[in-house]
Amino acid sequence: MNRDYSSVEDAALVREAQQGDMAAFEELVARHRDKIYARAYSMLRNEDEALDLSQEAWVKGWQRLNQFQGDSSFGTWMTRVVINLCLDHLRKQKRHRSESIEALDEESGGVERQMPVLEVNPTAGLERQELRERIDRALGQLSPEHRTVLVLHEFQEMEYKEIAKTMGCSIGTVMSRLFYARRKLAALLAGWKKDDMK
Amino acid sequence: MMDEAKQLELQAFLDGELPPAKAADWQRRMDADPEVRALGAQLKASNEALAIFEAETRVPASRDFYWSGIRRQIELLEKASARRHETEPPLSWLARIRQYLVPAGVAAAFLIAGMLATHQVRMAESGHPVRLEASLTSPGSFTYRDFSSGITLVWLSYPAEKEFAEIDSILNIP
Repeated sequence: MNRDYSSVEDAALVREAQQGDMAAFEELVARHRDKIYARAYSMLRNEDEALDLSQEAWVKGWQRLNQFQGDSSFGTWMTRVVINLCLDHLRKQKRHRSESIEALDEESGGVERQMPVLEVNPTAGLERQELRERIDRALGQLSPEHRTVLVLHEFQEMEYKEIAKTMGCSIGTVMSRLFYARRKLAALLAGWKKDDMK
Repeated sequence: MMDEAKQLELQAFLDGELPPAKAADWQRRMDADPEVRALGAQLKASNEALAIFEAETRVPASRDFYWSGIRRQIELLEKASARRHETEPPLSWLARIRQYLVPAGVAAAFLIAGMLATHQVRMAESGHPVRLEASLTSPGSFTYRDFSSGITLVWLSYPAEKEFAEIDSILNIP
């Protein structure tokens, strides 16, 4: 008979899984799968790729489980695994891109910098599902580089210099991308369009 | 309106990336200037928005379907790993010797070098000059010279890695 793991804490499940108990690992996957998938989706904004990479992250997690020392929570450790996979994936994609989207985005960033600041909370007054859809669309209008900076900063709570090292760019570029991404996100959420600015 | 450099500095303040003195200065500006305050609020809103976004995002697959993909992959990898272990040929006698000989040779070289160096210091202190030389290009060789008695001793670690490779290629060992 299968053991019921639903009331067992993560740390104990990790110990069981480290001994080769796949049922304990399955419970960990069930608990954290939405977060791991959401992190991949935030960076890639493609359902199929996010699904594949999040599953790959779990496979890697199983293989490296003995390296998990419990310095952070298991969920945090797994988000690092999936973030690294996404970064590798984006690097490979970037090599295949024929033109530099990044350069275009840095240029268009100037528009957002000059936007008037309205005293409005872009997330106020919206239902959560509607808000999610808007954020999804807004993220889709950011380049992978801008989304990555946002995710690494806002979710992984990485400092500018850590992000710069991870992404292989300068701290100035990180600051600029972060600023542009935040303002564009805020603008899109508030329903602003560039045409309205003219 | 703030220029670009100031906007980025405000962002750095909000992200806790400024030194305390500059941060205090920006805090005063936030309190006093509505434009700074509004831009600050807008920059911080992305954090809230992303938190909602991730909280509302779900795996677009059932628990069983999602897990079965992971389990299948794990099982495939473990089977492949087990198969590799089964089909791996046992180490040849030469490979077994090499496993121990190379580290033992390196350890012996350092031991002898240490003994000679100690000897060199003692001889120098007693007014009897000797010299120990080690070449960077050949890390496995040491030369000992005793000038007063006219002795030169060259110590080489043997067999060298290259020679192992040559032996391997001759014997057709992968």
